[in-house]
Amino acid sequence: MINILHFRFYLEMSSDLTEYLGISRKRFILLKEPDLHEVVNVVNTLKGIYVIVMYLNCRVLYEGRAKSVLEDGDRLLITKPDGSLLIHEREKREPVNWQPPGCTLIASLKDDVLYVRSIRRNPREEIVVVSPHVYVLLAAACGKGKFTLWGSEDEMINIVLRNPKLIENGFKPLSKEYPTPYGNIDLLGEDKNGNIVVVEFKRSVAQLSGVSQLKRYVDFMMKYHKNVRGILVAPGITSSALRLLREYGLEFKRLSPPK
Amino acid sequence: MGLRLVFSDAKTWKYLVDTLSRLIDEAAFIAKPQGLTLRALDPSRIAMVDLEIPAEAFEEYECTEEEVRIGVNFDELKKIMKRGRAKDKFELEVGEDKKLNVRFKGHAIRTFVLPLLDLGTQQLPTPKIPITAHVKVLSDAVTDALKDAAIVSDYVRFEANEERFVIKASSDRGNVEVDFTQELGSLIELDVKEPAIASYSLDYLTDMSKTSAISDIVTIEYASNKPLIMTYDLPGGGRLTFYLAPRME
Repeated sequence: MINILHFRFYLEMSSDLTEYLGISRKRFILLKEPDLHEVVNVVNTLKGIYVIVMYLNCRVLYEGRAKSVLEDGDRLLITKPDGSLLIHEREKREPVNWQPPGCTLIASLKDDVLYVRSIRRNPREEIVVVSPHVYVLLAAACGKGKFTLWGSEDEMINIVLRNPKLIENGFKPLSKEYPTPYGNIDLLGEDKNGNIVVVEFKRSVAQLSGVSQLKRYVDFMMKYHKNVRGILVAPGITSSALRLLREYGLEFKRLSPPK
Repeated sequence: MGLRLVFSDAKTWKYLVDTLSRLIDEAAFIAKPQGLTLRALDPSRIAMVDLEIPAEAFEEYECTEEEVRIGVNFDELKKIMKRGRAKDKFELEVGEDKKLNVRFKGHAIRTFVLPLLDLGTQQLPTPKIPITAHVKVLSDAVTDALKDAAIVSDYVRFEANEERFVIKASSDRGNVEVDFTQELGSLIELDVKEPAIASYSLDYLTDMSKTSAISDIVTIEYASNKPLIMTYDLPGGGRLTFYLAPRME
């Protein structure tokens, strides 16, 4: 049920009721030194449509699979319409505390202190941001654009499809994203001797996990075919991964994603 | 003592809370001496619910204050309502302690206590929506039509003219058309000033149509490419109205 609720954001074709309610839809709302009542109001009524960024003094309590306390300090709190919550400090790329999409956000006021609670239902995890002071609040109407990534595994596969010789002479691609119970095989093909070839692509240096992934696919295909080869395609491979690969009787082919 | 409401059976409330919980995360019931109301937007603002139950619809209704706001999280409330049996007597109470007591009286008296959420005091106005078509239909027939439409699409088209009301759905998976006529009995009233055609999300409509479990007749009002107003009369008095923004094509 929770998932269905959040799937609703795919409804980009839908208009909304805003204009009929006489609520103007602004591109952004910027509040400097806002009253905390106002913050509660903005967060509870606009959290579903705006990305809300607050620069505030706060303490952050987390309880769920583990437990954490982040002591008083000035930070950025970001909430997104899909239910994600991020708390950023001065350093590091990753937030100190965060919740994934699908969480429920509730702001409230108690004894002149702002409480922003974000609840994840499964597994049960809760973040409580306690703030006596919000310096700035920005509610921004953010969009969602088409995202294209170059140098991805998918691009590597496409290059091989256009030029199968990159794997080896006589290689014939049969199926892209071939499904198995353990995940999809990046590329399934056949070599010049009629052996089935399982090809797994990695966009950066291949690790042990990539080797065991390939092994699982090869073992699965062996149930149905006598001769199955496995090739790991990556710009490089760690020495431990290469050792395991050889132990399993699998092969490595060096290929870099396009730049 | 602020507020005490007694409802003769929990069934209506079980369905009511279940339906509301599908559309809104949290909202406040507002109790006044003349009755109970709730108006809330879903998080993406595509739908709005508007509930009105007059004091007379309750077996007992005591509201000594001008206004009592009962802010609740609907997922939590739904879990509690699930515990009630349909025939239990159902009670809501807010006392001095500012907590909500939900009580079922059946073979035992079971009381659940919930903290009230402070959800601010913003009041939503009644949406100003033009209407050219007014349709009254058996609510089960609409629920069935929505299920039919869901086989091929995730949205439906409502078409109303002087003669008929039709629910259509189409996609590359196929077409579905459900025709409501007065002869077959499903169409009770049809008042069309100007033909109306509009599309709406099935996802939302399906959630809203769950109300058919407690209400036989639904009133559908809309105009071309304008929001839909869907009203269910509740047993014992009161009504539940949904507003749904159209899907733009």
